[in-house]
Amino acid sequence: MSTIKINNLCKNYGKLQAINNLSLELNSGQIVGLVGPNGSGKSSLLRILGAFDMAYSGEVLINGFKPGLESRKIVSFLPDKPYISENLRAEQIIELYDGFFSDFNKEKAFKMLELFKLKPEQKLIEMSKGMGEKVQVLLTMSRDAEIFILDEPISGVDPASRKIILRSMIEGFSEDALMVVSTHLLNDIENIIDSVIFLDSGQIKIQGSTDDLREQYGKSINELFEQIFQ
Amino acid sequence: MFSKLYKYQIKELWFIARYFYLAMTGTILIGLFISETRIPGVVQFFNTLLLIGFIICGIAIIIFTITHDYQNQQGKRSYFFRSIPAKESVIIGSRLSYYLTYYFATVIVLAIGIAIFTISHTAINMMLPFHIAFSIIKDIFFQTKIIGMLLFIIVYAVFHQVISMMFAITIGSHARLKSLGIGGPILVYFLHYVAMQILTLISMLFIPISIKLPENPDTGFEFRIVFESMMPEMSKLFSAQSNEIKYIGIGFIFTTFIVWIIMAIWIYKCSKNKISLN
Repeated sequence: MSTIKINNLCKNYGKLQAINNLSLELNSGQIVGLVGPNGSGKSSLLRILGAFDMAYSGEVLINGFKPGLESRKIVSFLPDKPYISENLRAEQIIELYDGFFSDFNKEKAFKMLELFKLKPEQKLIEMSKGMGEKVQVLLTMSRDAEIFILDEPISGVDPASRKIILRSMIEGFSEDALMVVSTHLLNDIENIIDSVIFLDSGQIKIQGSTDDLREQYGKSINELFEQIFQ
Repeated sequence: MFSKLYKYQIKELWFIARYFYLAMTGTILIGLFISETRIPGVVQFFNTLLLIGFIICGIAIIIFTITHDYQNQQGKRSYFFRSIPAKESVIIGSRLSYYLTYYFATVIVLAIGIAIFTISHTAINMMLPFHIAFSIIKDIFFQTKIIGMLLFIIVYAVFHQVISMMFAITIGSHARLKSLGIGGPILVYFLHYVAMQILTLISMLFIPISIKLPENPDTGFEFRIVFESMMPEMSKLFSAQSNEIKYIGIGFIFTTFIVWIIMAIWIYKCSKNKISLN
């Protein structure tokens, strides 16, 4: 059974079709890059997988369940925007997550906090945008989830911090899990992804393992992306 | 999970609400201090200002209660709140309890504050000591039937307001209304309000259960429940056969209760199957 199975998925915003009859199967044990230009349907697809958008047509199954209560137990989702109360301190947010998610690893969270050089007593409102994103990444990655869905996880941080975040993402990732990362910073993630999905106008343009695609087209994934979407 | 969700929502608003409750307590204490000076003009002027400030603080808490729930359901905190693996009934139950906690707490503080302001105002106006002013007001308001009726009205109004707000936020944030942003819940609340007014009026007029008002006002606040509709009373009033209303229809209590159940089911289904965050 595929970890994620999508059949004929369609998602509309009024007359605008964000996802157009998309079918896809993803298995555990890999990091998948979801790339495409703005408006290609990346965030819409991830929101559906994270059970944050149920207004769609078609079939979506996460470990055999429709997105909802059961899928929320196994999916750790990072949205592309701030989503936590800014009045809380980093340590309070970690405690909050520990209380709500049974698979949350508090020790791992505090270790990542140290790795990111963040102060536990610092409030989110006192942090810079990049620091806030780091907190959100560590919260998402500190769950021992079966599926990680990350929407633009490194877009707001400086290049040096990106490397630290990416390293911590890989370190915190179990080999049995599945990670789907959406980004347009392909250069940064090219080396960590096992396969890639190129999305355009809500449809899959190219999908395959990164090694196969590099060999087939004789280009890096980033060069291929530029060639296709220029 | 229910208690965790409930505590989270309560704590989240407490960051702001505590300052308003503190301000409300402060206005009461300052009001009492000013009243103690017993200078009629000064006391009335400052106590009126303080009373306005006191009520504004109460309204602000209610507004923040609603906006915080909106933030959890559709706003910037929704991605955290909606990622929590809790049953929909637990989520709705915790929201309801959160609303009721802050609504009742605010209503109680408002009631105590207004009572204190009224007593001090009466004492100054009539040049009486506070304890005599209190006994005068007690005689007027502290009758079992009035207290019972006031409590019923408060509980009814709070429940109605809470369910209406949850309904407006949940339904107004989904499907086509989603594109309206905060305008969606406002539109749903307005439409629901108009519909409820019409339904309440129809229920008062046609459902045969009413409160019969006392014919002689000097007998005090006496009323009894009769199984008559209000419509014949209104017909007499409009055809100028009578110039007073003896019955007030209370059938709306039953129809409202049915509407609450329908709204609760609607909230549950929409929240479970039609969630769509921005």
